[in-house]
Amino acid sequence: MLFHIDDLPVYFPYDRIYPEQYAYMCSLKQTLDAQGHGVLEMPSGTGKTVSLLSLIISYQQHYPEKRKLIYCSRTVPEIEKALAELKRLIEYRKSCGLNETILGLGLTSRRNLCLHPSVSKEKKGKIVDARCHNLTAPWVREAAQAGQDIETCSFYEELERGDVREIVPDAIYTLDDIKELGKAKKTCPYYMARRLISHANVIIYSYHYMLDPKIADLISKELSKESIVVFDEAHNIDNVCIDSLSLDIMRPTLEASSKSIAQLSERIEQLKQQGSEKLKNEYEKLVQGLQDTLAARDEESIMANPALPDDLLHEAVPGNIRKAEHFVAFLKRFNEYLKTRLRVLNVTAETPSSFLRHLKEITFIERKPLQFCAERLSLLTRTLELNNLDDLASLQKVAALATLAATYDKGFMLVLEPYESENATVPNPILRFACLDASIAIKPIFERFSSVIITSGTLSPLDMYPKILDFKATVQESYPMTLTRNCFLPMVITRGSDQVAISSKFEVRNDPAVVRNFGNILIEFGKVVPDGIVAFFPSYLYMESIIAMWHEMGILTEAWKTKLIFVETPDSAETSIALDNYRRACENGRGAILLAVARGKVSEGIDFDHHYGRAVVMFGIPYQYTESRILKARLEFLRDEHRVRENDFLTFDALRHAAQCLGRVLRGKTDYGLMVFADRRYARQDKRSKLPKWINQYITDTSVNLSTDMGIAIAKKFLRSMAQPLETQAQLGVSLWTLDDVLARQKAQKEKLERVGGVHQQLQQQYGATEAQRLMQDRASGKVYMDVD
Amino acid sequence: MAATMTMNTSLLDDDVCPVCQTDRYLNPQMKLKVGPCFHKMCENCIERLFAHGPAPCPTCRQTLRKATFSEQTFEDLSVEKEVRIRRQMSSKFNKRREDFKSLKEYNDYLEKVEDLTFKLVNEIDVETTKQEIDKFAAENRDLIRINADRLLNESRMATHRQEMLRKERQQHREAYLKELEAEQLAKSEDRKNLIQELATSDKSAKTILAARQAISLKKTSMRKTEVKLTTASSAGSTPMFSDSYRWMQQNDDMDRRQQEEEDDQANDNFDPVQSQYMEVDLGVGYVNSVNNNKAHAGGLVYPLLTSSIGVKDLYVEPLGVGNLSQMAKAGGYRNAFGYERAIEDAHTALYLPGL
Repeated sequence: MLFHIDDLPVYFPYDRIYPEQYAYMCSLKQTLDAQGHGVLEMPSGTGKTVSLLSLIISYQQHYPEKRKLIYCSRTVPEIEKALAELKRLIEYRKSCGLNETILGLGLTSRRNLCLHPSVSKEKKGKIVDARCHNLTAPWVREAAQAGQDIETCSFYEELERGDVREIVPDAIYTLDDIKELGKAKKTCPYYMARRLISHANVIIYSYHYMLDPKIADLISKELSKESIVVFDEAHNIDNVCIDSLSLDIMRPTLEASSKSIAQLSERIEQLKQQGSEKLKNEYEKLVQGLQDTLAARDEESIMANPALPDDLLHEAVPGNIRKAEHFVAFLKRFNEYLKTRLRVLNVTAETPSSFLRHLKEITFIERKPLQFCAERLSLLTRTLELNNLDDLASLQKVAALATLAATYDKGFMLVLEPYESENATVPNPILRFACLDASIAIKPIFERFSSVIITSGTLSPLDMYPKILDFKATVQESYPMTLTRNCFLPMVITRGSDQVAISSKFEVRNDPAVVRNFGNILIEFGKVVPDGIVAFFPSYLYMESIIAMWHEMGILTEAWKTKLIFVETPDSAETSIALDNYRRACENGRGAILLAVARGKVSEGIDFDHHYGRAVVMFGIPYQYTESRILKARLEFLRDEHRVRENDFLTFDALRHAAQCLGRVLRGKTDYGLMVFADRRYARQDKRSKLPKWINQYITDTSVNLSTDMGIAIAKKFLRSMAQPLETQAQLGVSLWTLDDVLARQKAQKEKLERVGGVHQQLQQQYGATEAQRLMQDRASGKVYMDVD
Repeated sequence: MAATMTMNTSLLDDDVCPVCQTDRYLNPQMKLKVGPCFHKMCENCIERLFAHGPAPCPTCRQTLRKATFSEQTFEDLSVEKEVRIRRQMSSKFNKRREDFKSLKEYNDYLEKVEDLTFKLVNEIDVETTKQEIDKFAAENRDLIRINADRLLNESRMATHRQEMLRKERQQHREAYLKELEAEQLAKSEDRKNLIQELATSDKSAKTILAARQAISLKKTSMRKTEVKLTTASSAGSTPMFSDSYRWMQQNDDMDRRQQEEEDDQANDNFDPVQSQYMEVDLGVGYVNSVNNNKAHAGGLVYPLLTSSIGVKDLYVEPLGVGNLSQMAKAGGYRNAFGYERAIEDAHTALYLPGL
């Protein structure tokens, strides 16, 4: 359907639209108009992706700036879904008679795209990357062109021969499409996609291409400032940011990097004996300054790499690591120093600055050369023309640690943990370089791009994200779900049928009474709920101990009478088998229970729509392991820097994961399911207020403090009424709008505006059309008007 | 280079004393020490060999003393050696960036030092290198001394700073814990009082609960403003601006409390806009609204009235006006600017999130 938001024609590829989708698009347009950042929460399963795409594409095509859309998602299946949705949208736009050229594509790793007959057989991403590099590195190709007998990749050579733009016509390419195209043209799909990035109107790829400084520098540095960046499923974005700047160093890492260092020095020796000019050239270049050696770096488009800030690029490499052999000796000293650190057998935590001081005392390594370590290493590997880059992975890690520790003082922490667990006796030391500040990794993105949209099904409480990511949001909105029938029922079970309070609190979590009551919930719900039930636990450890206790108590045997039981494990292959069989059991009517873990694989990427999940039970509150030193350091940091209270953050983090788990059950308005919060603490206001608005609005006072038997009675009634057939007609106008509904609504709004026209005009002059409209709505609905900055 | 490589391989099988062939298995307490010739030996052997004064090293025949042996820091002895050489070097070559005209010269200097060190480590032209080093040391004796002093000072400063930081962090932590504790205490006190009241008072339970709720709401909002206040004051960049900001915040805080009180009295839905257009009653109501920032926002210019009715002591002059004007003038501001900014500040208050 086609409708207008203000003056913008929006093409929406379906005949019906959900009211929240319409509202979502309005907010989105506001954000784009204001060239600001937005935080938008919309219930899962209400067509977030399609609303996003259709509004942004309409916006892009309507205005002459043609702002590029960069859509970042989390997993490959999600990227595929978004690409499919985009393809459908563009087809719809074509069928509406629009004549436009849109190039849209997805980017994923070499492993998923490679066509080379033997390289593509490799299972591990790192090995594929390294082997690809061996075939396509410039010196390898040069040697091959000079007539030496060296293997190169024919697909890459083909790409080099032609112009990418000529090979690839404007269209939307899903990951499969681009692979097919590569096959047909015999060119490399991976490099094709990478080179197209600067030409494409829409790019869909994973977070890491944007957030991980090491990758972003390669992939995303050419994107223009006007681009619209969208992070979908962004409820975990702070953890992604932190992970991208954190490193773990263990003994094997250091052993491997020792070996790599020896290799480097051997190679240098070799080159010297051959009298090669390469080292000399490199040295000459370094004397001139680092900036010139990285010729490709364009002034305007450099993405501030957190591991190497802009201003450093203009400085020359310090004299004491200019010569290759000096640099190798330098690396060796640093590596040996780390080894001595790992020999210490008590826990230490220190700031980067005290680490640097100690380092200087012991090895006379200064901060400056350390800062250049990563850059100098990559330069050296290029000069030495090294193949098999995967061998160097450990050394790269060590160099990255050097650079990060020397560059950042605040927001980082070095923690040495000599033992893996508290009661381990054999030391297995880990040096963790932990980033505590999520805003460091994402800061260049907020600074560089004018509009960054963060969106997900669970972002509550909304003001937390601007705080921990340190940005200002122009629009911050959470949408409730409009429903014809209350198709999901959240309930809080606080005690068992025997009135013993249930909780996963540490003191009582292994109390037999609590475990038995958890078990009873499972048994009772197994009896009344048809098909699939998914139950989440706070951690693997707790799940294991509970299952063992259930087994002893005979609860598992009891549950077995009604459902099959499957368990998620940390091993992803095992889990996928369990999932497959769970689905089969749901399909053939046997019914099944899946025991899974919050923060695990199942809780993040897998949907349990319709009969795959008629009920989700959350046993306990999935708090993080609070004794972890890194978490403690992070909490302290948040408290001192962002004024976020420790408990607030912990609760926020636990509840976003709980909401994420429970959100799995509902993937659309025709779906229905139960959401069971089984913990006494969920009844408290401070916990419930942190749940997303769309869940919270359906938690009624009657369902907030239930015992198991009361919960079962309500669930029975709910399931019986929900199992009745649902007519689409009934939804129309309420939770599903046709074009007429949209127009009618717009007209009603307009009339209302005309009634108070004078005021509105004034507002419009002041704030622009959409904003004024919203303000007027607020006024009309009795909300008090306070200006938003 | 070749020399270091061979040394490397011979020393890989560590934890065996090369003199008496004892290993960790036979003597778990064994401690290996390294002499100036970079040959390892266990403590027992050192005791035995050097009991009667200087003796030759069993491996290389260099004459050694017991005191010159020290514990090994690095696994790789070549690094151990390098670091010792560097220690000596750094006592002489301690020039800084400031001592050079350009960055390039400094970098060249760094490279030269590195070259010399490298020669010493790998035992290439040791004699000439040593001469060169001595020459440098003699030439730059004064500068070396000055820089050594500077370095010492700096390291003292750094230690001090680190200590301060640590203390500060601890204080933060303690303050936070105290705050938490106080809050907890207040809460339990509240609860106790409530039960007491419910038990003793003859009012209906409903009214008591409602009153309680109002009070607790007020408290939470107060806490929030306090938090904001501290954030604001810590966030201020220039002292001038942060000052005025704090002043604004305080006023804001005050009128927030006031409004809450009014709210309690009225006991119905409170409209924050209402106070903006409050009747200009020159009595109590007026005093209230003068203190209210939003009064300026409402377009009513009260300052003109202040002198005539004598409520001036309650009226806070905007910074840079009145008695402060001398200071402001020194800063290059005109009087009008002060008022202008006060009005702007008042508007800024509107941008704070809703009450």
